[in-house]
Amino acid sequence: MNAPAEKKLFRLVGTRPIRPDGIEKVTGKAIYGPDFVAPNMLQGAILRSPHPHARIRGIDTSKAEVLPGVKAIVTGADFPELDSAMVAGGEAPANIKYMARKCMATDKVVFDGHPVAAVAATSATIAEAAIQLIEVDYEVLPHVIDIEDALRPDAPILHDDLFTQGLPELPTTPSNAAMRVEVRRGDAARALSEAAAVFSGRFTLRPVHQGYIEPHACVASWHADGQAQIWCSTQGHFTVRALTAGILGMEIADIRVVPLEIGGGFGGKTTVYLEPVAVLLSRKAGRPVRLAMKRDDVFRATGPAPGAVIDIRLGAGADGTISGAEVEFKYTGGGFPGAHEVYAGLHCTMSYYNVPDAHIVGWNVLSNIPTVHAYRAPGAPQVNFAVESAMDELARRLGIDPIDIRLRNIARPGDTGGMGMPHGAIGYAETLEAAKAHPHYSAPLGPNQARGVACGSWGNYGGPSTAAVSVAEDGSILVTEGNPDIGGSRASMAIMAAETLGIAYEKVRVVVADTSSIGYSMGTGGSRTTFATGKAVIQAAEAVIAILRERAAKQWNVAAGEVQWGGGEAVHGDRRLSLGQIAAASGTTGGPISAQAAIDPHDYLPGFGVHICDTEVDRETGQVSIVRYTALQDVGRAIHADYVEGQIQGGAVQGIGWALNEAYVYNQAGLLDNPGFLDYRMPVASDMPMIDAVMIEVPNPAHPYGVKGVGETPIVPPLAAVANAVSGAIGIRMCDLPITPDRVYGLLLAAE
Amino acid sequence: MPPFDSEFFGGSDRLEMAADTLFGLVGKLDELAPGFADLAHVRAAFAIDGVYTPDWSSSLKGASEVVLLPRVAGG
Repeated sequence: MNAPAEKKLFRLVGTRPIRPDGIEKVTGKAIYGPDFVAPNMLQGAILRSPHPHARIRGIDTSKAEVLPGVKAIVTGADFPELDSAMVAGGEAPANIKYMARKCMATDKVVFDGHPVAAVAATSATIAEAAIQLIEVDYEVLPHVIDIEDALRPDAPILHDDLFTQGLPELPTTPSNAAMRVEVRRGDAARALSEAAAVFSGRFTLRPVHQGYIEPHACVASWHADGQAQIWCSTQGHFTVRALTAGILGMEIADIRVVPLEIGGGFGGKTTVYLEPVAVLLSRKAGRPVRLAMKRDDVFRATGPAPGAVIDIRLGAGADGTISGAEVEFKYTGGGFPGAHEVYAGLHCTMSYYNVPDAHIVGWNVLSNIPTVHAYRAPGAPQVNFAVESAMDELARRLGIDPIDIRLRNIARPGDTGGMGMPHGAIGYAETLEAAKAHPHYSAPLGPNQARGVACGSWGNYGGPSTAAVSVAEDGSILVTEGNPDIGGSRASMAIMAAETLGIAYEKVRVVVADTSSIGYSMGTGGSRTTFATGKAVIQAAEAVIAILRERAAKQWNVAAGEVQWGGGEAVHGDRRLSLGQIAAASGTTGGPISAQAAIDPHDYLPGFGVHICDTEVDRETGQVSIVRYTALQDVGRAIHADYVEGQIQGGAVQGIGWALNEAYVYNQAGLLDNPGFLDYRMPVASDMPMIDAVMIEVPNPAHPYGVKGVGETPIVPPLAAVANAVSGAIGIRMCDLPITPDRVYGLLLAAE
Repeated sequence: MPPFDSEFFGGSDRLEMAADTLFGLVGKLDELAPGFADLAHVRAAFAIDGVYTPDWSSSLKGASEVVLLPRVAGG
């Protein structure tokens, strides 16, 4: 199944060449965020709140200021006053006021670890000593962590000026409910009352972190002319530029952001935490300043994915046809409003099933934890956990195979989706059929083992991208893109450029340019880069081909329209000129050969995954082991097959971690109890079997090579796939994540 | 046009109106709900007869349905 017949259509697309950044990374020469050094650079440190909720009555920096070696101190008072204003910093807007407050508190702290001051000094030791000398006068306020607690009438209110958005009537009292969204179609209550089987349940999940290995880090340098330069690890350096400029009231073009190599992001590096602070420190100190988080800073003060409480009622006829659904999901929003996961939850709830009668309500609920942020298919895994668990229950109650019940209800091309949009060339059915035919699905199970199946989808994205293709004097090719390489974009761009130009992969070199060296590109996220930036690369390569044909025509003294391009050569009758020959003559045929494409494609298509999971439960300890796992996904068409399989495997493992191990744990004082990898237990290789990644290729007709986007879909199904397997193994529906040994053991004990 | 219906348009999830372009449509919606246009620029996406259309100068001539969607951020 990993060798679709259509792959023969292409010379390079779908192959597995050596990754262009591999040698630098395995030899330790690649420069990541914390590695970068600028001449005369100072070291920064940030003082963080020890309280989850407190009013700042005053900050005394006088003792720190006189510590030898201290060159600058910044507090919230150094940031410009900002009104609430939405700025387009990436795929979705951000409120610049809240974005600034997240970077540095002003009047209140709203989570454990909230920055309150920063220092730049001649050494890290001095900077750390200096922040200990800063005295903050806190008025400690009652805090609230959990969703349902935050919604109680007597809950501590985080923001006195926050009124629930999305209600028909503007509320008159502030609330921790930042946003309510709703979709209603048909009559769900009537449909459920007439259903042959109805499953009702409440599902809960804790916030989880993206868990990237590389902590956030940057170096900023303020220039005497009022411009600034930032070197950082990010998924979107244009986003860093826009948000930093917005927070500091600067012109966008006055900030140049240079992206460094990135050691994982998964959505968590599509915003700013340190960069505006480092710029202010550098402005005060007159020297470059480095800020880098420690691991506990990352956990305490950067956005995890939302936890959730989800109530679902799902009904079906005796034949398994879903008739109605009522879903209410509440997502944690963290300390500040603006999280978009509820929108995605709305998009993803029942999005790939045809449900005529549905009522879906979503809430974004603030509490005293870090403001949540994007994590791989943000907002989809949570609600999908409830939906796919309910589907599993209905299949069991109606005695229908879990894949068959999904096939009966699946959306197909042309069907209208949940948000009113018709589905295009989606491969939902093909992926389910492939799962049913996969040997794993019919393999025998051992003692205490059970099999779970779950589906999941992510809409993917397109959006603005710029790319340039240049021909060097010897005919080798340089591709310049504006997207940091997180999941292999350099390799995939090289493949697409080489495929289009008809040359060898090794003839193409790809660089990721800084914000002042290439036109705007939205960040590397949303599973958009291979699709959108890939399209830009292809269009730029096609424009270069047009120039090459013209140059060949000049040498042959024929019309350009008579010259063809094929196999990396210009062809006119029996005559041929190679790319290298045309490039060598460029000085006498019109000069340098290059082209740029700036595009904004929106003809993307969603991805769809089906995961099959076998678990084994140790009934004496409650320990759950994953014994076999297969992830099948409609990938459109794979450009670099290794990277696509790697994305599927990585997403699946992160989803398994969410299901079995991971959770933000706060103590009674509202402090994060597990801000490190020892206590925040992510899966490691020895926990996992080999994840069998199966690519199903239903190409996107709107992309020259059929790309759909891959990276996010695979984290959506695992939560329910694991839970369904464990539920089958012990005969108890697993409604709460993570499925830790103590939880399983407790349920087994209670059942006895 | 959920979820904007509750927030801006009194719960009406379908409106009938004529406009030449998406710019014109946003202007008319802003007349119904002052302030909508400002937020639409950063929060809304439009699809004309099932096709996502980021260019608001696109003609609505012959179009029968415009779907208003919230922008969703990926990870």
